[in-house]
Amino acid sequence: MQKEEGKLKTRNTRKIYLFIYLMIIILAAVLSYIKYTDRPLNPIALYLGIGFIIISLISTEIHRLTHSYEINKNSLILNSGLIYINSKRIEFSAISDFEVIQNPWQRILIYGNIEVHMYSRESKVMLRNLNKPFFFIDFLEKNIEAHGGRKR
Amino acid sequence: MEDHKFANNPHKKKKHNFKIYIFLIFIGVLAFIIYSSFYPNNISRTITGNAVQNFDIKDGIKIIAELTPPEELTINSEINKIEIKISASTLHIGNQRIELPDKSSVIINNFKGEITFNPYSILNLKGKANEVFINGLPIKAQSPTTVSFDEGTDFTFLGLKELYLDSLSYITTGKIKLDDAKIILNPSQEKIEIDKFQGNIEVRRNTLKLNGYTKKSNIPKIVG
Repeated sequence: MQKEEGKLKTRNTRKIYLFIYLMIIILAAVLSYIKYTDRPLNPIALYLGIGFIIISLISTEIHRLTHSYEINKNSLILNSGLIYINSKRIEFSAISDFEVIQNPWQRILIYGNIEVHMYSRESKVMLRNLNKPFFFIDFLEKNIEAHGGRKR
Repeated sequence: MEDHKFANNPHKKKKHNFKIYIFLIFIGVLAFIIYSSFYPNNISRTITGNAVQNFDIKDGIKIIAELTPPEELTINSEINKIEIKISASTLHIGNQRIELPDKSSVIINNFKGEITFNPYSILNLKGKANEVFINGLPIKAQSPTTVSFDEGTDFTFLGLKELYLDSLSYITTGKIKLDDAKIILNPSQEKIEIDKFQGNIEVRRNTLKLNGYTKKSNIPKIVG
């Protein structure tokens, strides 16, 4: 989360990849154990293991880069895509309400989704897997109050 | 109306399937690593048949050698017959524990597993065998059963018949006869390298005898 004066930029939290990181750690631990105990290791198995680790790390980072959210003085900006970029700007005046949605797992790891309602509860956008969603909401609320939004 | 770009993922089921695929790939890779490391013989046979484990005898050249043994040698292979003359030790066959008196003779047929020895002791012998003879008396099993010795079993003779050794490399002294004694080498505290050996090994009184075949392409490496 990057915070500047009146500006906040964030991406999906890496906590959503915990399961993949766990798999990477298990693979790395098994490979290290085999190396440490001098057991024979089939080169194809070694390459597959290293390949899985590298591809997993790269793809999680790429996936993370595809979504970013920004709060500035006037609006909330949602960007998606890496090569083809879709950028959606929601003026503060359009925001009527927001909701934090967390399942038990997300509560434990302190991340969650934020549903931003525009004009009505039917028209909404979802900001997914944000770290510390309540902090994000507080910041958004302060900015709306400071720079003029809808009166609620 | 929901904004579809940022709204709940309409392909949630697909996403779950994707996670399952990743997990299955992970399980596959992990299983392959563990299996290939802990059962290296099985995996090489599964992938390449016996091509990696053994070689066609037509491609082989006769090798007979009498050398000083390496400090320690581990063989992880199928061995048709193991003959051991040991001093007192304990042999484990399946759930049985057999105390062996001094100067016992043990023959293990169709052994599949790992044996580690130095010139005087069997440091580790663990594997499966179909048949074990103790002082000539057979102990048979319906299916291959586990066989192991207590660690550090001293022997006076160790014979390993019809085995495959992927490589043997150490500093030694002795005599090597290749291709029916057409080439004779007398290494003296020199490093020898024998790759892909198939045949018999005997260890007795600080002497290691090799009698078998090695790949023809291996000659320049042995001759040096």
